[in-house]
Amino acid sequence: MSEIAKAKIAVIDCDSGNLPNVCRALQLLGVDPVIVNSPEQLIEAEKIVLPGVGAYAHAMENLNRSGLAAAIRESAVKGTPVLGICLGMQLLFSQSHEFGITSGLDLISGEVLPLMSAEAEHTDVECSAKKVHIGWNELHAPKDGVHAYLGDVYFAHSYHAVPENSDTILARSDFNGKQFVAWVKQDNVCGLQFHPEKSGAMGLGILKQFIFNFSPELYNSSQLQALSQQAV
Amino acid sequence: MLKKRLVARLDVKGENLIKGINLEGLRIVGKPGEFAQYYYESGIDELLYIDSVASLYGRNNLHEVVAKAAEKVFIPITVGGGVRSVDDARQLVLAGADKIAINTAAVHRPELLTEVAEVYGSQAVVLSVQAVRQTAEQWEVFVENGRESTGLDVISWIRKAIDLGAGEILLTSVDQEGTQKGMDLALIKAVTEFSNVPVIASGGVGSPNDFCDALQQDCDAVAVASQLHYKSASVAQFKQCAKQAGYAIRGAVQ
Repeated sequence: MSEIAKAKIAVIDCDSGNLPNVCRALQLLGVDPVIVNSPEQLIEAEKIVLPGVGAYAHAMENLNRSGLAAAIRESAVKGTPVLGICLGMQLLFSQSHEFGITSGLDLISGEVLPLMSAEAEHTDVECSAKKVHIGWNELHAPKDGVHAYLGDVYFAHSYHAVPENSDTILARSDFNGKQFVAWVKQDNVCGLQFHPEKSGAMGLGILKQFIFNFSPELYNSSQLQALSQQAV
Repeated sequence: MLKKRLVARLDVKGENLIKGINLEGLRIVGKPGEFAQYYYESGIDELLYIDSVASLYGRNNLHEVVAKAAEKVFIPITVGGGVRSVDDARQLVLAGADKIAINTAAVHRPELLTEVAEVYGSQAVVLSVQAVRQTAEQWEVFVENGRESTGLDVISWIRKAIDLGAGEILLTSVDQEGTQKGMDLALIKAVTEFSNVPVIASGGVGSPNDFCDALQQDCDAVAVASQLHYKSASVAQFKQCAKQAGYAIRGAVQ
């Protein structure tokens, strides 16, 4: 029986859609990611990527059942950098309101809510409003009193995370006339609501930063702007 | 703010990129991989792959084409043609698809939309509608790549599909498709008027102006095939036209 591969760059498998694409993007950046589906594989992880697409409850069920939820929490507490992508970012939070209330990993305090309320969905209130956010949208970094435009990235989601502590917000975007949180960071735990693996050079630059040049101190807006200008 | 999208539509038969008119009469244009790479480097916003002969084989056969594209192209890829089950969707997602487009199988069994949405989220479920004009304000849903009539009204069908979990609509005018004579603007408007999910309009783009005319009907994206594949207009020209008309769109060259 071969030894379980111990992942340096661990990509968590919670039966999600964007796992293969995230791995491909990491491989392009010169990384050899290891797909992780058991807690032992996280022991030596230097960085953890948590991709996710689809249902919150289904993903949490998989993470709890496999023991990965506890292992991710333990690694995060130890200081291992964690990057959640799309649903993966939402899983970092305390709970989600998708189909009832489901508890998340609770690494960042806050809730996950629908982009369009149930009442709005069933009344033709404003025909231009949509219940799903799909497409390229702008990232704005609200730090130091400045709203710096970082670039365009690709979103595909119907829910968004609302952190309790606004200091965790690195960037926002807007949809249906309202702002929502697109990028969070609390010490070593980060989340991206958009898909960096599907956002061309901009997205690949953000992934590269996480893999090769991560620091637990909060970014400031000029660092984020420099980041957005990185080409792969 | 959310940008409008220019989508390159690649109809694939086996290992070839093909093009037809009114969804028939296939002409080989070249290799899909080369076109995909070129469009990506030119700043296209998304790629749409349709297996044009899936119904002949009873399934989608684009896994290899999609896998090759996904290795080099880091923008969203939608794949459709012959998707009949959640497992068909899963195989395409594993190959690299971000969104799955479903037409015929959803008409025959609408619950399929819910089933795929439950696994991958409704934002990954694209309802592909092939619309054939009946009167000035009515269109009928066709399946089997535009060959078979269903008797279903396009508007009612789309409303139902959105309730069942479709997160995006790919709306193709069969009458205009491949003609390069302009899109069916009334069709686009009839759908965008009520749809609370994004609409990708397809069929008939003959110039960058047609792209802008479609955007004026409030769709979120336009899929272009002939004009791009035959190099009648470039990605940059399409985007320039949209910018000049005042639409927010991602820059043409990365």
